[in-house]
Amino acid sequence: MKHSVSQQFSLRNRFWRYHPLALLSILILLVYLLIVLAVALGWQGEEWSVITEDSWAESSSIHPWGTNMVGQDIFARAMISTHNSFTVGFWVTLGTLLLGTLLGVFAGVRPGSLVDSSVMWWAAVLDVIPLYLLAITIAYAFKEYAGGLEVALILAFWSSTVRLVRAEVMRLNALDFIAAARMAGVNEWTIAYRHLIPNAAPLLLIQSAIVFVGALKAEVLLSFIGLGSEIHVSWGMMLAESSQEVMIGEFNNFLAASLLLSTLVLSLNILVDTLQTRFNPRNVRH
Amino acid sequence: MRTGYDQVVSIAKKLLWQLAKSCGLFFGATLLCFILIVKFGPDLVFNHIGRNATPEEIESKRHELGYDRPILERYAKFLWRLGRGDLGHSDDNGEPIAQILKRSLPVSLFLIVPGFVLGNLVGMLFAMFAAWFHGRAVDHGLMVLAVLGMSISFPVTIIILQWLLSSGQGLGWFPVHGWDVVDLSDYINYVTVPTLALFIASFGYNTRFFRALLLEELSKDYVTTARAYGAGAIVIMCRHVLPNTLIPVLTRIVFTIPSLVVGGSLLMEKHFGVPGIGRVTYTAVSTGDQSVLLVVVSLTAIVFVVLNQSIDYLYEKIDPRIRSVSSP
Repeated sequence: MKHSVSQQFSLRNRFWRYHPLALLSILILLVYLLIVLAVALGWQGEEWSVITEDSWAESSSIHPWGTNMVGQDIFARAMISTHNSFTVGFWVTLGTLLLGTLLGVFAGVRPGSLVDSSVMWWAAVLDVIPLYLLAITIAYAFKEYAGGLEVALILAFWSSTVRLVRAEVMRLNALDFIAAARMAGVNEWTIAYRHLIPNAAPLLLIQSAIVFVGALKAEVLLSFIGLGSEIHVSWGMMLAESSQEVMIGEFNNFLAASLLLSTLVLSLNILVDTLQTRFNPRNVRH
Repeated sequence: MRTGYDQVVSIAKKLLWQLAKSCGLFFGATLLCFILIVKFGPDLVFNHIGRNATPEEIESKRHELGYDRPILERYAKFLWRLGRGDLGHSDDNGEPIAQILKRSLPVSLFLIVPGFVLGNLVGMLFAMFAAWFHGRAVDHGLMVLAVLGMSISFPVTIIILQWLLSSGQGLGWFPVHGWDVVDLSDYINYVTVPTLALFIASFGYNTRFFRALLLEELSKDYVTTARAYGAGAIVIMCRHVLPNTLIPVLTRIVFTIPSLVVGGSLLMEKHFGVPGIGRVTYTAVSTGDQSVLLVVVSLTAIVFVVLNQSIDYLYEKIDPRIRSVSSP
């Protein structure tokens, strides 16, 4: 029995009944998206930088999650950090996927061509530099520019996406329906746009979730050691503050940042796993 | 029919081609970083002569430092110095970079190696159990553990461990940070918390990766045959399956080394205040020390390319099939 794409994802599909955790992950993701929306519209997190006299306040109606060392509201900071992390994750994922898909298709339709070998050479060159070294080198180079972090992460994650898309395009390219389309005189652009990319879509969906998680974790790591973006507050910065506070028994800041971060990453990991099981042709359930 | 001469020529050709590929990667990576650091990085002239210099002084200093030369010429000069083994001096305090590396690299290795080994060994052990009991409670339990391990961010792990093991609130057994190692007991004292952190951060990924490999291998016919002959779990795993998965396992281990030594140590050494290579890199970035950063990046690229090539060589040693295909 074949399902259309919309059927595959519809809630009435049996699939979700076998994977309640994946459904839960999607609901959790929706909550995060609501937070991002609320911050973007200015409903939440506006006062994240306001310093008050009240340091390490307990949870109260004014400060639902208490305050940090300098009396800033942890709830507001947690909300704006969620927004900032998603913004970094979004741009990195978008950039990586666009670049990876475009170059992967170019390389994959003509394996061994000049385009293919130069794309793969660049991928190999970037793989020679470890992720965090590349990220801090670019952060160093573009200290004064906004978006340096995003560029660094795109460059770091780009190569794996290209390899993935290239391999998938090469596999699809060898199949009969592509040969048939080519025989019928369909031009290469249309084949790529109509057949290759849509067929690689499930793979791209999974890859984008993986890149998103990678970007979130890298952003947290870099801002934790103080090499992230300097203008924004983020989970990594909150964790860096809280590493001192935890030692003297103030947990609010740490709990807010770590729970928000871990829940999101866990949900995305579960979702990726479920989708990978779903789209693995070996596991198709009829 | 092939003669001995033909064989020598074909082997030489292969070696040359590999060497050319490695050099290409090395030059590509170092040139990219050189341009990023030197061309786009902050201007360092003022670090040398102070803020209130006249335009003439700035010009002469730029000339003296070679900043007015074309970027490719400066890159070639940098490589030439590197090739002669002259790593230069730190821009920050003038200390020879070779000396900085000699001091910091061993510290990093001592910091990273225990956690790295533990993460791989335990990952492998878990993977063996999970794969052998595929689909059963042990497998599910270990996979849940692995996903949890993957989902907890490294900083979160570090903070929890520090609170639990180092603070007055928790057990208070180990120092919060620092690295004052004279003998073995000091070493154990300072290395335990970072080791546990690295282990927790890496075992999840390792378990899943190794499990997937082992499952693939366990589904093969020779395993079924071995089982039919009544071979036990340990014999099948250790005598048959493990040697056959050695290549991907080794590849993964080798390729995580450079990123771990620089990347992993960057976070841990900054946070725990350990004077290793990660700390050196961090300081170089925050003080704008171009020379140190360039050397770290270039040496990492060299190490990576060399590992890349030596693993090809290693494959031929491990796997007779590769040898029979690639050499005539």
